[in-house]
Amino acid sequence: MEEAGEPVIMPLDDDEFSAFVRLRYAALVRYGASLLGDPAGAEDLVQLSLVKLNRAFDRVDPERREAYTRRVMARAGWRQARRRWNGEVPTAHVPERAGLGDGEVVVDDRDALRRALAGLPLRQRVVLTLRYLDELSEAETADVLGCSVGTVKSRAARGIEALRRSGLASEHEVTPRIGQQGVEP
Amino acid sequence: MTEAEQIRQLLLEAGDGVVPRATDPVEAVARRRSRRKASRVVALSAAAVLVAATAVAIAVSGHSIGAKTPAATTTSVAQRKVSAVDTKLWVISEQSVLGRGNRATGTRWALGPLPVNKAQQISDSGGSATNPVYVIEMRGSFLCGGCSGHGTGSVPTYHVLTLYVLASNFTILGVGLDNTWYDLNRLGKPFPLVEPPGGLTPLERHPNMAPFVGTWRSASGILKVTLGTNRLNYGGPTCLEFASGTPQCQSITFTTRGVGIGADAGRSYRSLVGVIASDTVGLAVGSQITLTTASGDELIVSTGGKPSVPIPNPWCGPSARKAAC
Repeated sequence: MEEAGEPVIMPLDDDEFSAFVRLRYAALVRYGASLLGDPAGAEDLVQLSLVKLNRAFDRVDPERREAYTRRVMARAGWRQARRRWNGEVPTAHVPERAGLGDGEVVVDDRDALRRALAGLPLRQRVVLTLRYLDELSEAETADVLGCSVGTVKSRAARGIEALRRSGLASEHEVTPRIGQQGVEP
Repeated sequence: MTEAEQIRQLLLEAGDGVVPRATDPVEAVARRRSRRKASRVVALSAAAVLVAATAVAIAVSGHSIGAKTPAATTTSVAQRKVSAVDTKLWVISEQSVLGRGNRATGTRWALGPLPVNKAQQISDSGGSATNPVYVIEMRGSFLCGGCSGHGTGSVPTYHVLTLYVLASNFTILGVGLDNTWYDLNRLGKPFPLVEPPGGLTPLERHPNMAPFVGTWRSASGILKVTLGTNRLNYGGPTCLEFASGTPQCQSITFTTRGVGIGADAGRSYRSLVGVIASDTVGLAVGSQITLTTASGDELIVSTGGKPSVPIPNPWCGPSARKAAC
């Protein structure tokens, strides 16, 4: 029985939309996890984005629906970074404790990188996701997030720098697809 | 592996193995959407409380508060800017009301564009709609000229007029007369139709024009109003200015749905008491009107009376074509 005060669930009557949700939900949650680094938050983000897609479903080109959803997710993630409660990040790893000798803590490079990525500020992570996972140019990333190209550059640079400090190999530095601003003559 | 590839790999790993908690994602999204709607309702309720508190404060301070419109007691206000569509709908509603020799009281409400199935929930008058429609609801005193059994001169009056307007071309698809106010909130978010600030010719009956309600007699004694376009020709002033600013010259085209209510179509009449919707607004006293229905029936209509003064040319109005006048 439904709890008192719980809103009545209005069924999604659009079969096409329901089919889209069933088909792409898991993939979108994985993308959200890449974006936020938090699986639970990712699922929240996906659901909120799908609610927005639902309202615009008929207007969005069928071939662009997933792109639309991802764009909404990226923007929401970017805005989410401004919220105060984001200051507390739940983590499965307890901090390193004092008194442990070097030989007692074995951390491989890969794990250090993962933790460095998890420790990045949300906006840096969102920019890195769009730049390196979605392979957007700096200009495209700025367009999606509604910020300047300079902001994208600075966030990406700081994020990469943090990863480098944790062991990111930089001997073959190659940037992803370069926007017009970055094209060398 | 390049730096970019390493970062990409790291990001992919963050998502790999993540299994959604929701077993039914569609239900999860529906639940989320319902929550958002509920929170909006709470916000609107808070706003309503604030408005009520303000009204009480004004009343206590000695200022008078205008009585709520009849519609406002049953229909909530959806805030929106007055658009071109609102203006069109207002003109249509105004023409329909005054064309019937009636008057509307209180706020008019509109809703739409509504899907066909939703419009049909209100009345069968919108039943033949195959395209989205706007629904306009008004309160006032409205004469039902096309109602059956009215050769006696007594015209029934209703207090709620509902118009169904095709969203594609803003033609009136159907008219409903009733005494019960239908709460448009059940179908969506209605918005009030208010008179646009200036810019429109006031729709007032010219003193030289005929009454909008009269008795018409068919030449054959029986008029069969059929579905399709019927044509009304009349001899009178060649051009008349209507509220919409569009001059009507020589002939007026209307559909059977413009006669009385939508249920008129397909019925036979020995006499008609009523009006031909908004198009009769410009008829002059003493005009001879021939109504030719789609089935070939003709109805000679005299609006009765004599013009008290010659009909002046300026009736053509500022936007009418001079040559036609």
